Amino acid sequence: MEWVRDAASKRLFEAFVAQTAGGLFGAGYLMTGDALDAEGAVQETFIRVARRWHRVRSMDNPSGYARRVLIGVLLDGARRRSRQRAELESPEPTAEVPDDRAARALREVDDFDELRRGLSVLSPRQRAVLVLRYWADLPAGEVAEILGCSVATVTSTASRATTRLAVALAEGRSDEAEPRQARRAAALPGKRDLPWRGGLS
Amino acid sequence: MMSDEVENEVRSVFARTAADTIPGEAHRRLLNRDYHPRRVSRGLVVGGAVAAAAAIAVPLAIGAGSAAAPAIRLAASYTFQTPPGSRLIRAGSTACRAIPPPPLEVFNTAGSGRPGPSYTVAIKTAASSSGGCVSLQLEGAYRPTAASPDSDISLSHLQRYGQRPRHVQVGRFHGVIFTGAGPELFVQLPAGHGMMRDLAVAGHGLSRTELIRVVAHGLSS
Repeated sequence: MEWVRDAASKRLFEAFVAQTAGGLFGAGYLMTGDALDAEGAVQETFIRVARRWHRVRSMDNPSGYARRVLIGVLLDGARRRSRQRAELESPEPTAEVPDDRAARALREVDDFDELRRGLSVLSPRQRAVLVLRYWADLPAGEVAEILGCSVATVTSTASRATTRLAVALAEGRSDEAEPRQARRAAALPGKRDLPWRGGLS
Repeated sequence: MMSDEVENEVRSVFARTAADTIPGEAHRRLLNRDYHPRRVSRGLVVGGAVAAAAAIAVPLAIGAGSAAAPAIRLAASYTFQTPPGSRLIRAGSTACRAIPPPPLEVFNTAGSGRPGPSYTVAIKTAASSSGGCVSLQLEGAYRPTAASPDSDISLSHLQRYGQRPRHVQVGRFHGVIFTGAGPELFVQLPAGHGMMRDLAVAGHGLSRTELIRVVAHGLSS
């Protein structure tokens, strides 16, 4: 077992945490929709990375390694929480939606809470694909590597997830009786306290 | 297959709405945590939920003042290093009777003549008049939520009882100090997977500042 033992190594690790915490937290938050779950997953990720820090720090892309660990933690957690949910591995069939309708449904979203609710209908793997591919802006090949699947699977999952998201957003909008302003007022706690911006590094 | 237009809209909706939705508090907490595996270990992460319902039963070590400061093992991965010159005394001892029950460990600094870091001076000052002591209790693990961010350190609850609570930094940890029978400090320790455990520390013969110093030192090793 390797530990973060000496002061120099520890300083490097702390710098790594400072550099990557925001991006990892963002990915976790988008995937779980829950700040505390995301915080716990990132914490677990850093603990695991710290254990292997002597090896991780010499990798070409330590933040990529941490991202992979995080996704593993999140997907493992999701599996544990909902083993009975078939959606994890085999999402329900998605209705066909014309591209122009899907694009319009996405274009009309201007509120994170609305996006968060839309994402909540997706399976964890679908969320992971969308977050990694379109929020972190990773190439399909890298997403495939992180998720341990083929590029074709990433592409098809992204397509299905996007359609499902667009449908959920459109349905949510038509169901919504309360005015948008009231929805905004009930947005996520801490949303006004937002010093961090950026994507996965 | 998704069209380029739809793909661009997905990118755009993330950029528009999700780029700045990270609660700053959570980010700050992540930066301030210590991920040193000897303190926050896999064992604690896995065992946290199992031990959630019970306080940790730590064997009491009773003895006269020892030269080497005893370390108290609070859980698999948390050790509390007592100040130099301390000795462990029986929980509920009359030497520390102001401490609310049920303390698991008590140490007393009275009679300490050993030189030490600056906090020892404060302890000795307090000890010279009344004998400073603290009791420690590690609470069960819990998951903070937005509605209930902590288990026992709700400021509104404490304010209701006029105990003048205040958020404080205790080394690398967050805590709340208030005044009960004496100064009492709750420190939030990470237990993995978003779970936390509170270390409840009550002081006798110590000021609030002295109690914070003792606990910050105790958790720093």
